[in-house]
Amino acid sequence: MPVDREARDVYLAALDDGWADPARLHAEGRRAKEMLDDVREEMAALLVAHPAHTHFAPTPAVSAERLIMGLAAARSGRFRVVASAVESAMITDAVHHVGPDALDSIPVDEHGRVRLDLLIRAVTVVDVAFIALQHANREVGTIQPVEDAHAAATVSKVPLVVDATASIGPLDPPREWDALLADPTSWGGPGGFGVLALRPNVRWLPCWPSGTPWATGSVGIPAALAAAAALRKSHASRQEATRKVAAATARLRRAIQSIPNSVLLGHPLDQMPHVTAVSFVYADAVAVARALDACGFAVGCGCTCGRHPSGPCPALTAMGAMTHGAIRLGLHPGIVDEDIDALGAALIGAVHSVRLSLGAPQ
Amino acid sequence: MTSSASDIVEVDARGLGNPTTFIHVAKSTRYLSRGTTVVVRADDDSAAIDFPAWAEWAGHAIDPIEPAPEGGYLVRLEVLKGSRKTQHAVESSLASRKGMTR
Repeated sequence: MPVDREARDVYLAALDDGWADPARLHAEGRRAKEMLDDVREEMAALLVAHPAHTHFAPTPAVSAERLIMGLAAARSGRFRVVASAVESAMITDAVHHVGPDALDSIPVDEHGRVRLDLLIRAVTVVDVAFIALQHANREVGTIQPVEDAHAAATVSKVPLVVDATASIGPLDPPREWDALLADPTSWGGPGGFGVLALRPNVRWLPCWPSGTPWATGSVGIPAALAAAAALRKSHASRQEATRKVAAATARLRRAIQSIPNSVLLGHPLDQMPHVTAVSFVYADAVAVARALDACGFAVGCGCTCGRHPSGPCPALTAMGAMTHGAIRLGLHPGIVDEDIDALGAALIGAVHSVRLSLGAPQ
Repeated sequence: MTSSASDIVEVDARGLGNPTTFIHVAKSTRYLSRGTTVVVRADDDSAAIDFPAWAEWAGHAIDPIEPAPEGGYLVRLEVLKGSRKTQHAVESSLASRKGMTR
């Protein structure tokens, strides 16, 4: 989603005010350090985390890599990482890095929700380093049973990493985690900034020879301030935004249901309010996305979890969904009914013309 | 598409992509009755990933996909429901196209 206007203003102001390296001793450096400490306090409060255990990294992927390396190092002798089959590449790549055979991938149901029974069984064996579970799936919007997973993790004394990089903003931050990953782009903050938080009792070991364990050098202070400003605003407007965006999603889905041979993906109830994922059978998703782009609508297709941008999405495959013709529509809270109706009409036209050009059943 | 005496229909979808593989299979199987076995020869890797989900949606039972000796792979389907939804859609699409050529 586009960067929030107020967050953008905060970013620009901080370019003047917080340009200095917070590690330096001069007045500008001390000022930058002060700004960074303040924003860490605020970010921790908004995420219901502890400020001393809330860290910033140059990107969400770097925060995931450092976190996973640090947790794995602290849990030496336990080699298995239990994770749902729909975790993003950011998580699974970092797990492969710490142990090529470490990943124990737990299947998901047809809605993309992790099979809790299988997850609980996998966690009871003593060789588990940690569990990784996303708060909600970025491809189809399904909310994962994070609370139940955390209960199982607590019983087995295994830390739970919750990847909330797609969900905070549309949803309240999750409460049940031992380590949390967040991405300001999901709540209208700037890109190129990662946030992670640990519960004070979670053990990890720094895995980098020098510097802070989470970011070599420093992080961008303007990005930190803008991220916190956007999250503050997102918190304040969430209830109203959720109501508006859920109504818009319902309106969009009614338009989609008039398109023959379309299959809505995701969970019927436990679903992020702004996401609609749909498979248009016998349509080529890339061609549909291009046609919508020409009408001024930015929609997602192909793999959004970071593996291969235009290839079949492994997350959709894991939930047994058709990958061809799969489109992901994320609605901005500012969207109005006229926009939805224009999007619906563009979608109906795009799917029809793409199918026609392929000689497909309509 | 050729029919043998024992109700096995072969469909050659080699050289097609995704979703054109499924468009070809849907058109080739639209009038088949329940219980008919369909053997599809195909070679598109991404279509191989989609076959189980497409078969379920279209109302066909599907066996595990096997590599074909001459390259590509073989998919064995059994028509279960007569895939009414697809059939209806194919027919209406044909009807509309006839209308356009008039």
